[in-house]
Amino acid sequence: MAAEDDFLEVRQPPWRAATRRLLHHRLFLLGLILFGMVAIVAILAPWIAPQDPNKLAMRFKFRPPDRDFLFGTDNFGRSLWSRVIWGARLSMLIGSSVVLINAVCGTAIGAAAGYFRQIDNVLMRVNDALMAFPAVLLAIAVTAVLGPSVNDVIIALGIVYTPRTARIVRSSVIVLREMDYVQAAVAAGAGHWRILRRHILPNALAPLIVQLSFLFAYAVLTEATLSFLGVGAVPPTPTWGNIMAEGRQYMIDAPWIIAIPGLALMMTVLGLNLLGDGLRDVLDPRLRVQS
Amino acid sequence: MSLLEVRDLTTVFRTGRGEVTAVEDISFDLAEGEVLGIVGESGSGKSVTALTIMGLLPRPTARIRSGAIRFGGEDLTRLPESRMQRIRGPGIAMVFQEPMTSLNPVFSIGDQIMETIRAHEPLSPRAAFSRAVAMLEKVGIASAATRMADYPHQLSGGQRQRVMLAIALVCRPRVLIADEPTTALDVTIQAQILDLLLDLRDELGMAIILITHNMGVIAETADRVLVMYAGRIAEEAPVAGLFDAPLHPYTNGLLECVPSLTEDRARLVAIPGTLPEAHRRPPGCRYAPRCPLAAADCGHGLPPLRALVPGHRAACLRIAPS
Amino acid sequence: MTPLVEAVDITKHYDARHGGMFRAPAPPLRAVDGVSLSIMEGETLGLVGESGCGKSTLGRLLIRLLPVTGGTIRFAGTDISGLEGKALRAVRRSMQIVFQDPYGALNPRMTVEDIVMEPLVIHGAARDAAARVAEMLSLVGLPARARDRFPHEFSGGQRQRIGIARALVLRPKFVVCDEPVSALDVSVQAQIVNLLRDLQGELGLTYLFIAHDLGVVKHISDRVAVMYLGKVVEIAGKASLYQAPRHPYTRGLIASVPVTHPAQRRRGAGERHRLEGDIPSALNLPSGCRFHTRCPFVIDLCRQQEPVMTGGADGHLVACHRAQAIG
Repeated sequence: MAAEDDFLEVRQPPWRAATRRLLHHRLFLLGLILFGMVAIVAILAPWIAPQDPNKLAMRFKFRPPDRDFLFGTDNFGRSLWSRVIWGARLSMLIGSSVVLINAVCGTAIGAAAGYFRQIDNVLMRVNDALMAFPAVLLAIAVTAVLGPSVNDVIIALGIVYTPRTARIVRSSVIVLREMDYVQAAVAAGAGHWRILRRHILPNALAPLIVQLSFLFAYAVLTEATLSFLGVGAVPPTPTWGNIMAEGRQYMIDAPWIIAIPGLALMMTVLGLNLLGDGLRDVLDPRLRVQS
Repeated sequence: MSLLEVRDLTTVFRTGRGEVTAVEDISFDLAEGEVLGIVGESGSGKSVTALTIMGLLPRPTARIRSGAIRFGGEDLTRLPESRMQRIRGPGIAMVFQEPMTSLNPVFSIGDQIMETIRAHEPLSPRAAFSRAVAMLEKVGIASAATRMADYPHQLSGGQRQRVMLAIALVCRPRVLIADEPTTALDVTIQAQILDLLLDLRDELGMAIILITHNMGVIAETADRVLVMYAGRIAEEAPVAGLFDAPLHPYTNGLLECVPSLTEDRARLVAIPGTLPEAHRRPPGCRYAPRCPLAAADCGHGLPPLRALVPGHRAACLRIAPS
Repeated sequence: MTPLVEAVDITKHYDARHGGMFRAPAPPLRAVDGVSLSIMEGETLGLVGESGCGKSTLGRLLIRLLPVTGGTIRFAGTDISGLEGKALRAVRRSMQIVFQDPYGALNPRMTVEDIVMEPLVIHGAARDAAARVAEMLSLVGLPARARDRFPHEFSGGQRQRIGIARALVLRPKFVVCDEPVSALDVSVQAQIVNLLRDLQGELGLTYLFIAHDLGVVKHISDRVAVMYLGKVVEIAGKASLYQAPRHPYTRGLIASVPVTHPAQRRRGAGERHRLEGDIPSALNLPSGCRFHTRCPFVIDLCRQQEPVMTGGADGHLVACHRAQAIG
């Protein structure tokens, strides 16, 4: 006998509902605009930068922002606008590479630790040891071994942040593997790979995406810190940290040199954090306001 | 004179789909020492009714749209929060379903009972302590004086619900609202707690509003019953009248669909369909889409709650007054 | 009739705490502690008991969703307790489970069709899979247009139907129903109970029906087993068990069920055999009979010696030293 079920209400698939809520989230949209501006500038850098960022022109040095030099020039007369644009490109490159490394390695390690409890202890103790190190010190140690280049900064930041991502993925996986639908798949004869791929990872994605957007911000900040300390990409590579490090000596006479990359950094990090907060509001049901 | 009078109460919640009414046009009286059972399924509005009376609606999501709650000569819907705080406890107290989360895990149960006492009465610590011990003994906690120092995690579910009762009753409330007090408990513990509730009512003389989804719990405890469906009262009757001759088809369905221990049936009588969600209620009688008696006119306008037998009201167009 | 499922003295112990550098090893948690029972082909065995008695664990042991610590499980005559890998997956076709929580039992990111089809895909019967899914959905009373919807679009009762469709799509012989109606609204419970009964007749299923609601269990079962703290204390045909319970725990359990009419109220001590006290912890089991701490008929023997299951030809078995004396 078929029950006289009422009409099923047509609702949207989960991801479409989430997208709709995101587009109504004001702070998320503000974050999207801030971060989007930086990202677009970074992508278009070769075409929109008016001068070669490394071209020296001593006769123009210490020019404050004016019509010729939108953001002024530095102590070597290089256009700060061009340098900041190219710096954005590097920040985005490093940030997205670190996020990618984390998404792959962090998920793999976290899922393995959370799902196969036999190896959990070993993986997580290594993780704990890495996390106990101050992130910047660990990154300095890694770049000291590998040498200061953009690639090595990416590898260093990947190593620094992967344990954090792994921990987040692991805790979702531990919860998810006890869900009844996972048990049902086991009862139906599903193998480990199928259970991970179909039932666990798709449901662990939401908290991971939130984490990765914050991680992008940390990576950009830490990269700037490393450059500023002189252990990141070597000068004259135009990174925001390098520009600020050079501008530090002239802070009194030419404050724009340090202020402008600083503002760019702030805008990027603020944008990413707003983005992450918005994603968390929409994707993480534990923090969602009951409606 | 009733102790508590609820008149035309309507409570609404703001949601992503606009405002929905959780409780609509509810009116009832509660007499001194009476046990009023409110029975209903999820979404019936029974718990929201309790929270509205207690002034514990989540703000700003929920608000009272209209109606009055008269208690002790005052309308509770118009009282400021500071005044309401003094009524909660000595006036109206409440116990909740979940004995695991209703107690604060970082304070001993003694602290939590004494805190309630001293929030309402200027007692010395020593006097508060002995009053708390006496209350724990009343709710059936053995060697109460030593258990005062226990923390919630050291107690079983049944004991926690006893402690919740002690906290609710220590200020001698005139009304106790118990919202599904035994739903999370095993059946042997449920029987103990229901017996205890009735014993305490006899001893302390308070009135009880007992909210449940279980007709058996109503049969065991209530003097009078409200049956709620989709936010409205479907039927109101003295308990014997309700079980002997239910008027509303929904009440009838609820009584029929529970398998009994004493008789055997080949098939259970099921109520077809599901409860309507708050934002998708049918026009007209809300039970009509599931009702075996529904006719065309049930789809237009809400049926009024009429006294069809003296003291026995039902909101159904298909039942003729006798 | 032959037993389809047979458990011989099965146990499930969880290591509560490993001994370590700083602490002594704690005793294991004995969730299921020596249970023997058999379930006949085509029957419904009800399994009742209070929370923490191990009834859900027992259900999962029988279908090998959890590995046993000790004992033997036979399915259709073959020992399945030690199976691994391919052989285990093969027997899983014949044994399925319906869960309690209709919200946690369905993957929120899969459509109804994907959910119900998954067991077929796993077992490589993908050719007519779509047709079999459609047939299954109509069998459990869901409209065909439910196929491409997601679980969150359904009410609790409808979700439970989806879970039942998934469990039955492989045409199993044995289904463990783990509290399938206790999370549903009362008005919807009867629909699901009726559905499970109809499907049993149509598909020739054997059920283990786990519940704490004695009324539902009585309605759907042929025989009923009562569990207390990891052990089955009484097992009998349902008429015999409900009308003449022999174990004091079963009596207490039945007496605790709320009455169905206010005229049957029995207030006051001694009026009914209600049980006092709480269930002891499974980490610290009482000596002798594990029920002796709450039993009104306890004697010294009960505290010292654990009773064994005994019974007559009528198949009514009970584990109680005092069953004769109090009968």
